[in-house]
Amino acid sequence: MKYYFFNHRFYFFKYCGSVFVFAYLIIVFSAIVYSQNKNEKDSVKTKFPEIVVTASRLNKSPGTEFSAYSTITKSELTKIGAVQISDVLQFIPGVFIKNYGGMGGFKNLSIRGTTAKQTILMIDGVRINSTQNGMCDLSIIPVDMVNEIEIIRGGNSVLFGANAIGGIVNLITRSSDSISFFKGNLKYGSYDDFHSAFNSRIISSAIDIDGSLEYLSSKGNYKFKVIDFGERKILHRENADFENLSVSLSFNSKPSDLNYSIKGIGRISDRGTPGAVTQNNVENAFARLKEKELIILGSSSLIINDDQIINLTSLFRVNDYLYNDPLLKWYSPTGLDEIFINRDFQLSTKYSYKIQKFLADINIEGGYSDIRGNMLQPGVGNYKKRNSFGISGLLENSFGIYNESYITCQLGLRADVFSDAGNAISPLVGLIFNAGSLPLKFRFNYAYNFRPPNFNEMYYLNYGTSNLIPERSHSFNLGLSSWIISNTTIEIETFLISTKNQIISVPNSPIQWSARNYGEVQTKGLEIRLQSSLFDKTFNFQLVYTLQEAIDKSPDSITFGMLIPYVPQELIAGSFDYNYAGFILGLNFQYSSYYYTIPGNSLNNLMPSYTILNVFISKNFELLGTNLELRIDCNNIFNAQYCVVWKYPMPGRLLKGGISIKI
Amino acid sequence: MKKYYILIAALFILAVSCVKQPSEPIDDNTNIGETGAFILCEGLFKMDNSTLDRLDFSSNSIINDYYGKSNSGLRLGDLSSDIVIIGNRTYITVSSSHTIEVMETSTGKSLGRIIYSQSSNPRKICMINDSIGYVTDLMRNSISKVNFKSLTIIIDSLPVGPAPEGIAFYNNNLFVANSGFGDYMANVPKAGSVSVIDITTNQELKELKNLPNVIDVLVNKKSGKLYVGYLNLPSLTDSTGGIAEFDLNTLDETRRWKFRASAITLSSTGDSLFFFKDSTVSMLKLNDANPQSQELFKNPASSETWYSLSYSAYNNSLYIGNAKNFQVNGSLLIYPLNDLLNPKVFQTGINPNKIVFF
Repeated sequence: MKYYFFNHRFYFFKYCGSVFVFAYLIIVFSAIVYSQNKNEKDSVKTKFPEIVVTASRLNKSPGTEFSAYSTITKSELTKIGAVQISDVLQFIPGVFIKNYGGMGGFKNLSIRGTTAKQTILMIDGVRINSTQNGMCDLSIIPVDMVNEIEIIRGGNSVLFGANAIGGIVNLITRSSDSISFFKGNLKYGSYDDFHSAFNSRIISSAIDIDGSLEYLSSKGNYKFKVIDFGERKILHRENADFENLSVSLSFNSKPSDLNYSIKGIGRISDRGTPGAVTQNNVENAFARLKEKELIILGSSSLIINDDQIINLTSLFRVNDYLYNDPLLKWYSPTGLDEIFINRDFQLSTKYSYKIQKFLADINIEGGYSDIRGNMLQPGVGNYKKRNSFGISGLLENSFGIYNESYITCQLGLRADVFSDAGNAISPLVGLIFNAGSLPLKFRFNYAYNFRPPNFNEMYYLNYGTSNLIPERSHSFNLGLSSWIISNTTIEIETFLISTKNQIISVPNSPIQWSARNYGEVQTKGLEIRLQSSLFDKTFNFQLVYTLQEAIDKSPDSITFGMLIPYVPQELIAGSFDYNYAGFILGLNFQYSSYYYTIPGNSLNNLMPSYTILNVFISKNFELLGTNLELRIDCNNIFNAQYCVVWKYPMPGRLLKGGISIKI
Repeated sequence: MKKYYILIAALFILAVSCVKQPSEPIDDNTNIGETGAFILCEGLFKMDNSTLDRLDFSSNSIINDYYGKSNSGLRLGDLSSDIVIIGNRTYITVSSSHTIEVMETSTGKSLGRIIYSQSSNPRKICMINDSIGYVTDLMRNSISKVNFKSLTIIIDSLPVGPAPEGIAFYNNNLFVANSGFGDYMANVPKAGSVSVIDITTNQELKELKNLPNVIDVLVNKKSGKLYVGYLNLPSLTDSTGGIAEFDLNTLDETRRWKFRASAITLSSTGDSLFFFKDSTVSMLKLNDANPQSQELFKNPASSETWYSLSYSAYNNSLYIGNAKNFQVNGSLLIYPLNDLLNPKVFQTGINPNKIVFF
């Protein structure tokens, strides 16, 4: 049985056609609503500056200011020299990247000690988590199309729906540039790491067009040390090569009463996926993963009048997944050939009413997902689908207290129904105290959140359990922002996340596992972020500190009270840069304390702490009307030998150079 | 002249007697180890954390990670599967590390290892004498023939059915359990069968069928019977596995008991078969006309999984490897058959999967 989506012209056109019809219907629907209200509205368009398609920053969207919230701007992305999204997220408090090593290694996001499945990844406010495995691999998201990243820490299902237990990462792609440009980037470094990207923005009187083309590749053959049979050896990582080609194109209307945007992202990747390096063995030494993905996002908004607005968003996503491991003979005499096609459709509409300081939102979402593949449980066959429906309401209001200080309250409620994975009712309460003339802002929020089981957890061969129910999680956040010192911001957050019915892999034997609603996990912690720009932005720095503890609270569990694996208790990251005469000298570091890698907290499987130091120097100059940047990076300058995932070695020192041209 | 003939004859006899005739090893189920026991702890897949523990009967104490402590800087590797003791040599298959580790039984010192190719996965060992043995290879769907004295592989790969697990020997025949690895290869030819292989010709004599997800094969020389434990397919949640009995001479099935049984082991007399059934240790009295499963005692902790079972004739006790939840250090439980209410408990490494006596 073969499911080569992109090789099957019929299906390709069929699906693409469906998507365009879908997008067209949204626009037509918006236009109808628009025309019906055209005569009633006036020309004021400033009352809803925060809408997705017209705003450059989503942080003004209702709701997020009640949560722990951070952004990474385009200039910060550039300064870090990110080639993958994971490169920059580590500088956000509470974020830990489970990195399997090298450019092609999977990079899964954990926020506040939760799992990658309990975190939402969005593009322009639309979730792109796979319904197959609930996650999104950060190594394959094209970084150059991203203009800004928002990170909302803590759960918030009312605003963001399923999986919003640990946090939300929103990649905002629309460029904030107001003039047309063309930009090219080339980077090359150790292990033949290669990154090239071309971006352009064309601004016409009727429409803005953003396009990007990005290619990443690496041989991934870095050295690492092992001890086999008592002998110390230096090996090279093999079969860790990686190629990823992404294209994105978006059409955005000019800001007006009716706004729309259509974005398409296509991606093809091919990589080796070598596994754990154990004694005399590299697991999955010849395994390869080929993926093809198409994402089409549509959004439109209609400003009805001063007080009312309607937003529509849609998503079509299809992922063609082919994993081959010729050595896994227990699946078949020729090894494992895992073939899946996972499709997701989402459509949501939100009506907002705002008058003075009062805001009311009603959001309705519908979803359809399906999966076809050859590794589903025998009783399931080769196909499974899921329908979902959600409705939520949100109220916000502000009340003055004394002088200029005021309190803003938020109340929300959401209901979700899944055709095969249970239901969930999710409330939300938020509170902000703004101290008026004092540079202080306190925030609190509580949310009851959920994550439905994904297709793998329910239907994967000899692993899935079809009667799983959604994970439920209480999330509390208490935070403080202050800007007492000029050009310096300090944010302090404390949090508590308590998750029940957590779906975990329970071993039936040391090599065969199944998914169960079993775990109860409690995570609590403290996060501090300090950002400062001094001497007219000549010297910039940020320090990020996380202290957290994730404990197994499963009743009657043998591991009750023990630390959850892969949750470091302490994370520290920092970046410093000095700007002088077009030169930027930068330094950044990440530190992780020790953590356990199995639930029993065995000292034999304790991951030691590590610190990684990276430096760079860049020079910006103008030549014939063209902006040029030359840059040299040295990552892991002290050549630290370490792992993030047990027995998956990370690269040592990495040198790379790059040039960037902007016209 | 006559005395020269006698001298030559004596020298000839002396010379030929240098090559000792291989002797059959003592069967596991009748090995009355009086010194102690090794508890092989499988560890977790990809975690490289297999260990070997040693229990001493005289001091009534256990040494955890006995192999690591006896061999500074060495470790067993990833996913050890089987352990066999032949005199002062102990052989341990370490499946994901593709090795058979050889250790001096009395001291725990490493004597070397047999290294297989990277595609292999040595699983279970069956000795046919004190030097020659056969090893199942889970990944290559084959068995290998090994000289355990010289640590050489004589035949690297003899094809059998898919995912071979247990292996046993009787009267020139090998019995190989072709599990099919549950559902994964349930439809591959020979899955869920026991291949009977003549070791003189390396040819399959017969296929004992209708044994889905077969794991264990056990020879009872005293009764001339073969016992086969099968688990059935994980996807067939409403069906059970069972134990099938075959006549070793005719290879015909003689009896079958249908219940989910694992870790089958024989008493020293060969008249009782012990096994895990659900969350109990149960037994079949094989000499009864119509033997029925009898519960001996129950696992008091329902959330913990008993993973290995051995019978010690020396102290007439059942030894149980408790894997708990498969992710934490396990324990060794010793239940004297004449005092089932007072088991002894020792902590072990992760996933104790085989207990042998020496």
